[in-house]
Amino acid sequence: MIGIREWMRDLLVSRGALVESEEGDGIRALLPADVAAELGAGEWISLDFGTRPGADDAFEWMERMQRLLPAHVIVAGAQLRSLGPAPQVDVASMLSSEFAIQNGVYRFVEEFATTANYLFFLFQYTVVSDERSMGFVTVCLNADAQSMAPLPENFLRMVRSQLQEAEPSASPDTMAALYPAAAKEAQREIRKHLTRIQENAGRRLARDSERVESYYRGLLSQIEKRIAKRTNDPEAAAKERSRAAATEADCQAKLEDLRRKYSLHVQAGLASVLAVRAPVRQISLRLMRKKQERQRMLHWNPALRTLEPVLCESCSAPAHPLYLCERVHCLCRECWAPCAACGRFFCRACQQRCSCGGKAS
Amino acid sequence: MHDPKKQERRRRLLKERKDAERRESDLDEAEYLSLMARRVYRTGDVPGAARAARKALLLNPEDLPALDLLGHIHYESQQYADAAYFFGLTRKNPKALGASYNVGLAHLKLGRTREALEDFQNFLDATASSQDVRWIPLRENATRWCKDLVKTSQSPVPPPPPPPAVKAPEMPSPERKKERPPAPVSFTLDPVPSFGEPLRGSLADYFLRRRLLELELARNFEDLISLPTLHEVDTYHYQQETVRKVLRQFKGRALLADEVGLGKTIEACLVLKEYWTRGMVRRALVLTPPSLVSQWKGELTEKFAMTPASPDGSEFRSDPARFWNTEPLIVASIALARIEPHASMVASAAWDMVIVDEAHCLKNRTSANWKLVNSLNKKFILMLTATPVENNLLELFNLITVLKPGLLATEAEFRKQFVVAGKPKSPRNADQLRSLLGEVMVRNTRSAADVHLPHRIAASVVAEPSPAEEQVYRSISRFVAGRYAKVRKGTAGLALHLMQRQAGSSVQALGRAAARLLAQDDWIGKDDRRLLEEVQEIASQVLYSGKGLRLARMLSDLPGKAVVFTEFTPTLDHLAEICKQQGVRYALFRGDMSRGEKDTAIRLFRDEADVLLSTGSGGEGRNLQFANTVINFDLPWNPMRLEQRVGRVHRIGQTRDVFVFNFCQAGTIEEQLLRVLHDKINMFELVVGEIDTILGLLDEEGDFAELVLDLWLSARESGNIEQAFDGLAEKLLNAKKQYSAARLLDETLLQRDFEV
Repeated sequence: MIGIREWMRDLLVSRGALVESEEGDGIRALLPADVAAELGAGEWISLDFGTRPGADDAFEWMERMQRLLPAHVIVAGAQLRSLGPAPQVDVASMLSSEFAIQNGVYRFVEEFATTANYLFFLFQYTVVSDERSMGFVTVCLNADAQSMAPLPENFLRMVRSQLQEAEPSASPDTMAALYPAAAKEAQREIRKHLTRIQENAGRRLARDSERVESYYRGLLSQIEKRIAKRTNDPEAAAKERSRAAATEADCQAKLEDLRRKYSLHVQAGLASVLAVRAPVRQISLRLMRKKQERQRMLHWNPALRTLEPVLCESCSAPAHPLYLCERVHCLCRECWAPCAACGRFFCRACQQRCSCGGKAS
Repeated sequence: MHDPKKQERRRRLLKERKDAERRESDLDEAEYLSLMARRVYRTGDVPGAARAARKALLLNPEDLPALDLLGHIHYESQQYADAAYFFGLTRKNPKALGASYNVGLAHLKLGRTREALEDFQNFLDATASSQDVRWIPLRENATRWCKDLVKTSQSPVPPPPPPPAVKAPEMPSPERKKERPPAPVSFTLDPVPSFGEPLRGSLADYFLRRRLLELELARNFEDLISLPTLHEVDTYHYQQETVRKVLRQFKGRALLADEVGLGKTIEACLVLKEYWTRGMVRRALVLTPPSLVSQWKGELTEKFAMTPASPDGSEFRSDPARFWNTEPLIVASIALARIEPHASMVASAAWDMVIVDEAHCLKNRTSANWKLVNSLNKKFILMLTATPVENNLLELFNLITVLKPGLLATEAEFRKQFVVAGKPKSPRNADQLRSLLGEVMVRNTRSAADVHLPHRIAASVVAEPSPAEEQVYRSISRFVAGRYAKVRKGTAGLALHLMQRQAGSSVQALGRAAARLLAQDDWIGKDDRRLLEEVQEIASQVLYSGKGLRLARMLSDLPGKAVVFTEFTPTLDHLAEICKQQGVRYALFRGDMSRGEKDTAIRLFRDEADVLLSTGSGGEGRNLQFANTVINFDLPWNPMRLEQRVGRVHRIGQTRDVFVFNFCQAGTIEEQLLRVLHDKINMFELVVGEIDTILGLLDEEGDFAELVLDLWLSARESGNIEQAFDGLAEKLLNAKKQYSAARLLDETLLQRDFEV
């Protein structure tokens, strides 16, 4: 299996083993005593993951070696080897193409090079319905600008070769404060990944429901015929009617079972967090709506060559284009939407419900 | 300082800008609201949807989706006048081609026949030039109603009541499908961790954890990584689901028993490719009936970019043991593999994966086929058959025992537990048996896969040859017959085989073949050379063949678009010449064209030309459903090649009946072949895929094309050509009967319990 051998080699090396890669599919290693004990193996292991008869089962060894990794969430820190200033950028044209306020204006204040704390939250999820599926998503938040780095996997791939071990640049409190936003974004991403599974489950649900319904339709039509035959015998007809009601209830119960069987249960959890300090261009703007204004900083990410969208101050989703309320909250479109009841726009960060009393939508 | 004019101008500009901004914002909001309205409508809250759509119209009175939605809402609540009003407003938008159709429906419901007639005619005019297949059923409806309305407007009796509730189509897609309720989703998030010191890990740990997750995904086959590497393959949802099930649930050991025509071969190739891409399979063996070897090789090479070897190559002949032991991917006929010394060699080699096509050949545990496959040293195995049970349930036991020995216990136990005594076709403990079979078997049905194809209507066109053509054909047949028996296994044999086929295609193809033979081959004697030169000369003089004349006549009266197939490039050039002379617009499609050129040819055919002239090679997987006529100007001798040609037009998405015209010259092999395939077994009107199964049941030693040539050459000597081909037809008919009986039994027995 592609990649397993390399993963095992790197894992063993990181645990102090002397590893000798064989040509082809094998791996041989001299293990420290604690690693050997953890794996339930001798100090010398020689594994062959080829397809020949008698070869070792790569997946079984993968499961055993997992024990060498911490079982809990891993919080790691890193910084770039050369933390030079981010290159200059044409702010005016960048803002005109990448930044938009739908119902307000902005004024440029200043721009300079600095560094920012990025937190890469890695979420793992399992989907259980009639089949089991799994996956993971990465969310990258900028703790300083309260913004989100788009394409986090690309970002990580770009900086990965330059990373070196360091203390996490963000405090546990900062991580905890940003976790809800990360979790929400992870949920949104996971929902995108669920589309195929949901479609398939929906298709099977529709198919099986149709079969169940057609089966019970047949039963009910037979009962109806019997009722029609027994018009002269009210007692027998009543009995048949109660049978029809029971059949109907049985059908509903079966359909409910199917809905339960094909419903998707997603269990998601944080697997690890990586805090990285990386260079950015910081841009300060004055955001104005009506007579109110406030200053807000944005970060231009030189690795991704993009302006990071700020987080909505109501729902923490990336807000692009940006909407401002009368108190200059930065909002996404959904959090500056009209009330479903009266049609008036209102800010979900300022108030949970519209003043008309309608539910916030 | 304060120029009032300037101030006024500035104020005006500012106002204009603000207005423009507001308008833009309004349009945005309207778009958003109409999107919300459609979402709400899908959840079943119709009043809510209508409210949101109306709000969208306040901001943008021309918002097309909102107008359309309101039209639908009124139509469905039987307020047809309002529906007609809203649908009428959508007509202003030039993109809304179907608007008139919807208005027509509403008018029809209101009994306004004159307006309805006008609307349907407008719709027909608006969509006349559109190639979008989604309009086809609506155009058919509109045409029918137009006819009815014209009739009723002419007759004194009152018009008939409008047709029962025809659902008005949604604007972007005229065919509105029944919406299925999505499977509900519930989300649980683990508790928030503390992020403190105890959770500290190293950078290496972070990346090792990530890589572990990636490996877990790969192990679970969450994504089919081979899909993007395929060439011109349409894979359908049920095929992908089947592949996932085989990989994830069945762990690579499965019985693929889809009904015919659903693409078992594609499913098996996908499984193989997936394992291959992941490095989990490095040696694989595909065992098929002899007639399907070349098809499998072609599929694996062209669609899956794999390089299979087969025993027809020189490497096999020089060292069979090395061939069986070292070739990574082999496609071989099971008839060859089961005979010694090959059987022992195949059995002693280690295979990561074995695929057995038409696996009903393993139904008998005492057969050499069963013993061979059972003896193979294999990690994964796929068995493909549309008819897992042909005569009795014990056949199923035998198949499953190769796949998963012990799953159905011993034969005696199986009989006792699952077969009604004295009735070998009747199962007992059916639920338990189904549950056990569900661990190894997938059987998709046409109805579940939603594959419903229109009819195929075939006709033969037998053209009388000119004297020159007849003479050339006879000379070449004599030439081939005289030499083929001696050289059949070598390249010369292949050249002769090809030449006989070219003779059946056109004199132009034959002339070119003769020229090539004269230039290249040293095995030709003096007499042969004279004959070939004569053939070449006659070929150059024939401008119009009998078939060519018939085709020219047909092309001039062609009602729609047609694809004309030939196997040979010189014939293709000849066909192009005919088209030019007839003034028929045509596009050329050859197997040796680049991908870009092929795309251009298909585009030209779709948008401008009436005829696509195509060689049989390449182009599979391209959608040509906008045509519904296939003309086989020549006949490949392998029926599967014919099936593939028709399959380019007769495939999912085709809504009209497909017409197949098969051309042949009287007195040729092709005429005999056509008599067998069309007149005797009615091949062109079989369900897609059935011919594969029927040929698989023949169990002849060689390729079908070779069988045809052998038959022709041997019968020529005795003069009993018709009788010989009747014998072949008889065999095919028996195979067809056997298949039909098995299909019926399997449908009854397995029903629809093994769909993905």
